[in-house]
Amino acid sequence: MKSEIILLVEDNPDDEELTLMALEKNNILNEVVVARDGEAALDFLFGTGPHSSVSRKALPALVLLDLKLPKVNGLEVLQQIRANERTRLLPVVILTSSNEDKDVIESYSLGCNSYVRKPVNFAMFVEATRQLGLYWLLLNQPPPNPGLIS
Amino acid sequence: MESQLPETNDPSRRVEEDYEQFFNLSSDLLCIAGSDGFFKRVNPSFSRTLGYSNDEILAKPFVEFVHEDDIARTADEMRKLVAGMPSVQFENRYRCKDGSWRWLAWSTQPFNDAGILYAVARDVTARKNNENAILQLNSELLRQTTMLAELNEELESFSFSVSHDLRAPLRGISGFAEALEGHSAAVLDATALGYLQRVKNAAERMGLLIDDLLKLSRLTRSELRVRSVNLSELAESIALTHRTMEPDRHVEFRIAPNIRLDGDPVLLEVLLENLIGNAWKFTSKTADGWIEIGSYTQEDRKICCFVKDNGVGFDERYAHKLFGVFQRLHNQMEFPGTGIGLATVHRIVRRHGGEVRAKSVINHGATFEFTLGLPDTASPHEI
Repeated sequence: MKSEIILLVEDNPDDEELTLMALEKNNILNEVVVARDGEAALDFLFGTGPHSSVSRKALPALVLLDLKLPKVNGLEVLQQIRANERTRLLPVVILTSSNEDKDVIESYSLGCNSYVRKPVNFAMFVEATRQLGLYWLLLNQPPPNPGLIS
Repeated sequence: MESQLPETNDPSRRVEEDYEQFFNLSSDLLCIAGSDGFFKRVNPSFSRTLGYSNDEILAKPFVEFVHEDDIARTADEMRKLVAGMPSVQFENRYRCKDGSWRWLAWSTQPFNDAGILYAVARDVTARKNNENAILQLNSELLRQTTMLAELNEELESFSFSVSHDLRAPLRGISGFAEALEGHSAAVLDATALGYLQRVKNAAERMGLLIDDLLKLSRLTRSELRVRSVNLSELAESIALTHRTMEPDRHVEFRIAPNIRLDGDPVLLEVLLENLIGNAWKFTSKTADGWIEIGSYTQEDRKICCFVKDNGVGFDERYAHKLFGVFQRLHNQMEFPGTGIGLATVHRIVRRHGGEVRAKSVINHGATFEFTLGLPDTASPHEI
């Protein structure tokens, strides 16, 4: 696998651990940066807050975004990603427990690339992670990284 | 005595007598008042309505009859009259002799040069009371509407937290049980591994229960969109799905053509899916299983649809429990399920204003019949 970064935005430590385990089980060995609330995710992407000293040229290859997050929720994070010139093409996959129509519709309206409901069953969760990794990190042609081409 | 006086031919006298007749006859309250604040004359209706004698009314200033809360407005109105402006549609409360209050609506001419005013009042107590009752009903309605809206909002956030907050810990339980199994399989004996499997199964089952409960709650929240629906076509496609999913099973479907009902197509599909799905499930241990979907016209001319099978059926003694949430008449080992399916059917039928009933003899199949309350489209005019 390539050494591109996956940004995992997840506030539940169990879900964080399970996602990392699932990625590992599938031999997805990309560096995973975990943001535990929406604000931390935006700080990482925009190089603000604690990340302001780090000059980050490369954006993550994929953002796995939970919806229900402390401080700034997932939909707001998505909205800001799409509103920013540098991040607007970033592949964002909503990875959440909710399958409320309202959440699905709002996520797509705000321009998520995919919406996946986390299965309760771990084997199914591992399978979902495998397919996500395969599709978004290998099969899918990502947009050119503005950080690298500029 | 006046009546014994000879009939006069004086025309002005005749007019006066006419007026007198009207004054005494009027059901409205007529009065003449002076600028000193006293009634000078009131008609019989006036004293009758308020329950006083004529003398009692003339004995004190009229303002003393007025309700405390209306005195300021009445004084304002009097000032208008003194200034020469007429008063129309002015309403205030007068105290009756029995202590009750009557609402009077006044039409009054301003004081004339002699300091006299003429006024007509109508008793509008009944109308006022009605108005108050309506106002009260309105505010009560408003209160209840607000309460309902709040309840609805609560339900929304409840179902959100069911779907999100309750599922997250389940994933933890299932995931870490799996992780433990992977990590310690070598040192765990068969009993311990069996326990772990049970933990995982229980978590998964609770996940299913939550999902089904959510589906059920959505049925009540979505708006009803009524159209003419071809149930036969829906049934054919549901049957095909079952046959495709389990090609090894041989169940004969007998679906009557062109069963049409007015209802919400999405909800009716869910309804049929549940009834046919049940029939499919409960014929799984029957050798020559069949499922029949048909309809007939009831005595009350409503169309009754039915889904009938020759499966294991159920004990009719427990039929009343069938349509409750999480109620099951078979155990998980025999026939798996969450016990939401028939509760869903029940809710969909009730949302359409219809009825659903079930008949069965153990081991001789079950029949589920439902009507929808909406008028059917199969009227002769449509052909």
